[in-house]
Amino acid sequence: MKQEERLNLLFKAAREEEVKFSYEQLVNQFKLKIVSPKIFQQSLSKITHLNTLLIVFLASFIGIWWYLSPTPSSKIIDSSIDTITTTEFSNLTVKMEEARVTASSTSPFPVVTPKQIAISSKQVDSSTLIQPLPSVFDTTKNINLPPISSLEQQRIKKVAPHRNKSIPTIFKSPTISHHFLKITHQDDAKQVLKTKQALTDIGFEVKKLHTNRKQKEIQSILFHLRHPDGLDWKFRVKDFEQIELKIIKDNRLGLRAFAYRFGQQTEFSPLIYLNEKSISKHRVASGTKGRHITRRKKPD
Amino acid sequence: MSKRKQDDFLELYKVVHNDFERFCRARAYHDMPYEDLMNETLFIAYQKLDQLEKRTSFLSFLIGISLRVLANSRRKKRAIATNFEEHHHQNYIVEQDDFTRFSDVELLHFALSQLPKQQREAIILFEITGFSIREIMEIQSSGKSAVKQRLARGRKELAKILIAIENKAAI
Repeated sequence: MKQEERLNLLFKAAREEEVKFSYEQLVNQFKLKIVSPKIFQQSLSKITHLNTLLIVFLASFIGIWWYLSPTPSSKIIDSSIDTITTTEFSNLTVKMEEARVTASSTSPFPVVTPKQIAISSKQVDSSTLIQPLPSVFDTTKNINLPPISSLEQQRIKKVAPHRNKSIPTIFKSPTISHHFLKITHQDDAKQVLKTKQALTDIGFEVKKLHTNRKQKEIQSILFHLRHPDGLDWKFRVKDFEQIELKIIKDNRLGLRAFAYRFGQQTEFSPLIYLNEKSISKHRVASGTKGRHITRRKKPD
Repeated sequence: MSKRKQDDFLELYKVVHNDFERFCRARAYHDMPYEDLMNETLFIAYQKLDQLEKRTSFLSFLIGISLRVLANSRRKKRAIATNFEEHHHQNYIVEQDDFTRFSDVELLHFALSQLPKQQREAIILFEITGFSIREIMEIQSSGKSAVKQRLARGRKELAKILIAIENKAAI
């Protein structure tokens, strides 16, 4: 009864609370929003007009310049036209026709023998060849890269641009790092062992990691992870293609929390803290979402 | 012509401004800034003013648009956001323990933000904006009993959340 009254009072307060965003403010913004697209369109049309004019002018300028200044290739063409007489030209066409006929009668692609290659390479003067450039990797110049810590800080700043002030500071601090672990259904026993080792290296106690295979592919997987802080997480997944574990680690405080997801397009599960007791059961191929149950809530 | 339309629109809006602002503030809590939601809704409503059938149902027309705007923004956010913090910020909010500096209305908005989407909408529309159950039925496109259930369950849930918050604040 008390709570009902309290609720009613709260609703009444909400109904009677003064407006924070006044009508005048909103109208000003609204008018600006309505007018601005027109201005933008007008200015855009002007800009496009100017652009077309500029392009036409530039194109005409380049054309005139190209026409007036003779290029080396055009010079060569001019000279060859001057030197080749009409008789030479007819002889040349006859020769070309002969060559075409012989080539087509034997094979469409003339075969070059190794002997011919050797002769042609002998004929080439080595002094005329271009010397190879020094390798890029030979340079001894040091490239100044920013230190990793500052890069990491920048990344974290970019990743979490949220207006909400209530996010705990630990997830914003530069000492937080995210680690990812992947398990695919095509992993063999060695890779599964490696994953187990990686999990233990991170700080978990892997009580159980059992896989069930069908046609050399993992059909289902069962995890049982523990942690001295109180974590007791059982994870059972069937018919998955990929499981991705995201582990949130603080460089000072160590392991903080983790989450999981199936495939890169899906969302991560809610954070699983190190003092949680929970079970996650999923069957991915069936289309059902499965469930994640926390048996004991995180104590304060 | 456009000037006349604009004046007409603003005249219509002036009457419902207070109710619409309160609705947006309560509904957009933690989802997006309510000023942005109001602005965006007004802009769309102005463009679609010809589709308004009754001038008396202008507020529900605005609320319908604002709910779609919110849903779209949430979907876009989900598509863009790849970082973990943004997806699960709701989890962190529950962990905060500075409820003592919240005003009564802020506390209510916070508690409302913990409810499921449709329950939250129904309660805001019924209790804060003052809509009837029939109007909520039209907005949510659901039956009378469903809306009534949402209201009853929402109130129960709200009471539970408020108790939890008060206990936490007391600790």
